[in-house]
Amino acid sequence: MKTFKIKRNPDLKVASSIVPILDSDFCYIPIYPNYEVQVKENQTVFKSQCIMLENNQEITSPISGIVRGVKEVNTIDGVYPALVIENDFKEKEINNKGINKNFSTYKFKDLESLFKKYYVPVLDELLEPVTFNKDIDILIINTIDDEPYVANNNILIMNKLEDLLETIDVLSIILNVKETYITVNAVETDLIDSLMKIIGTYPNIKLKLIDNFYPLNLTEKFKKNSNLKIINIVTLNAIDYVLKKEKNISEKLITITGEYASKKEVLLVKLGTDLSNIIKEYLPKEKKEKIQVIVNGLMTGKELINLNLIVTPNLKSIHIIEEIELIQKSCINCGACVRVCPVKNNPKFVKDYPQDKMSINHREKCITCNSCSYVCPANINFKEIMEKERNNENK
Amino acid sequence: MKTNKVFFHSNNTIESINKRYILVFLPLILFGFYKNGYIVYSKGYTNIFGLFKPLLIPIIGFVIGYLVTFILNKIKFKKSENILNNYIVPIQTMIIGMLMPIRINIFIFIIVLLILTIIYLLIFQNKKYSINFIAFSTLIIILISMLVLNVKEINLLYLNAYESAVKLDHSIYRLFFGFNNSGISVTNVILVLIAYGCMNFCLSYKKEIPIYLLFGFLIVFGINLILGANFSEILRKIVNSSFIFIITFVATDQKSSPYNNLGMIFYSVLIIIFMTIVGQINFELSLLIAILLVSIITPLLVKIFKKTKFITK
Repeated sequence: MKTFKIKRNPDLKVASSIVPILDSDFCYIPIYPNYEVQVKENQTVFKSQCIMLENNQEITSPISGIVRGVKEVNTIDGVYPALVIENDFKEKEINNKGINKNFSTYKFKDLESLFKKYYVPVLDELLEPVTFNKDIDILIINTIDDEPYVANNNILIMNKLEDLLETIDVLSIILNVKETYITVNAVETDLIDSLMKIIGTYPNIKLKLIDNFYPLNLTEKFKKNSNLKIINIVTLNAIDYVLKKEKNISEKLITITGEYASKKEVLLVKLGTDLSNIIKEYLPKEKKEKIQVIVNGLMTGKELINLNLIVTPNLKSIHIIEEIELIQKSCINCGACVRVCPVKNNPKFVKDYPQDKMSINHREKCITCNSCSYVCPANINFKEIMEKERNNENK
Repeated sequence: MKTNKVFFHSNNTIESINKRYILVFLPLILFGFYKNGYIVYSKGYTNIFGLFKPLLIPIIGFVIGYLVTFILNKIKFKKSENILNNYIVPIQTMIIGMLMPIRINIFIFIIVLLILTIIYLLIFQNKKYSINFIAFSTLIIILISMLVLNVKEINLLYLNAYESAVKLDHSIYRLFFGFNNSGISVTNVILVLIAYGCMNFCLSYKKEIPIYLLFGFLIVFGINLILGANFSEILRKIVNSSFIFIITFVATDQKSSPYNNLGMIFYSVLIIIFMTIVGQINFELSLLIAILLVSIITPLLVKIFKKTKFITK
């Protein structure tokens, strides 16, 4: 897979501490099509109480409070009905077991039964739950954020290094892993220093430095044809919750940055929080004319039109930036798009001959990393072209 | 939520590509000024106009490309744009200026280039395919100059006043460092190689084409050697022409060369075949003619064989 260096503005680097904003009045938990609601209107719910089931896996309440009904909300995946829970700010739990000290003695079947019970999505990426296989050749715990200026993974590992290393160690034993690696961006010297001091305590875990290129392709950096499992550190944190506390994680890390963001930080917010008030706080103090709010990264993200966005497990960042007007010019036939495509597609060909068989094949192969639009000197929006053709195909 | 917009863009813009070309050509143009202007003037073989002629011709080439694009856009498309930010034509016309022989008549150069640039823009500006404008214009201007100046041998057109008056040392070492007979600003092989090295960092430069061409030509020259050709004669032929510059900056012309790997290999092979054939008649212009012919026939081949995925242009 071809990768390339992306220009990074050092001014957009986020602060190294996590800022908790956990006092939202209401929580909105989206009810996706296959979710079964388990609570009724005006019912009191506790924190970590099951409120919905997805494939018999529990989706729990991130707060304690009263169910106020159902309301349509904006999520990153579109508009969905959501269960509205009014926060009583008591954080009451039914069975607060505390930290399970025996988690290090778990066997694979214990892990399987826990993850059959709790719905733990692949955080920052998908709404689909994490799955485990036994006898893995290589377990990769990734601390690198693929999108430029997103720092959830990096800040989390800096703040919870010892706890998470312990969990990685236990997990590698449970899954009977041959080799365990923790991948770190080679430019993150502070993290490398911290890891070097402590990693000797865990002889099973090896450190692997990865160059700062886009898109992040970890599988290529390891032995070919081996049975690999890659887990991002934010997802590992959710796994850590289930293993140690036997409950679902109720918070989510979100990077907020951009040249127009008043502060550049990583926030810890409750799942289901309405972000509108938080975003407003981070908008620039002086009025700016052309502001864009982008969610989930500048390379692959979406522009937010309505600020009322609900925090879901696959939401990872908010960028407040100056609106850039890229005027599309006629193609100069330079082939930069072909040169950077990580899956060896030919974006210009897809643009020129959308109905050709090869174009259809390339559209299927496309990983929507948007590298082609990023490098095109004629500002051709391949993202739009691909999306338009995909929509036509679906019709 | 809008999904189809681009929020982040690299520094790889048409303007940055154009600026990079200007920057890498600057040492070549200055060397051309030294070799064809300063030395000739200091030896007393030319006047003050002759001193600055090697500088003026590439600059005039650039200005013609710039002005024609600007004016045509204003008249035809009713839009006034930042030309360097949108078009590569000024760089193409600058390269034509750099390839010109020193004895070129400046008025012929201006008039013919002006007409050709207008025709090129009117025909090919928004087309997917284009002929190699640099090769085409250079050939036309040189042929018209030969006719007007009544020069029968092309080599005589490339000699400056000093070179034609005295017998100079033509050792390969001297030729390699630019003291050979070729276009005004394209003689110094070392500077061309440095320029190629700098362009390698540009994503929009087709760096593979010169490699394929050089590799292909090495095979052809190797076969020639086996068949009994003289090694130093072959080397002298390569260095004593704009060969290296043409494969580096004319064959890689953005608009007329393929951009995918298979296409580039196919394009290079065709150029080598054509050059080998045309080279039997005229070596100096054979590479330009080969590039021009290939740029004309590849779209036709694409149409005939419908192998667009193979030879994308």
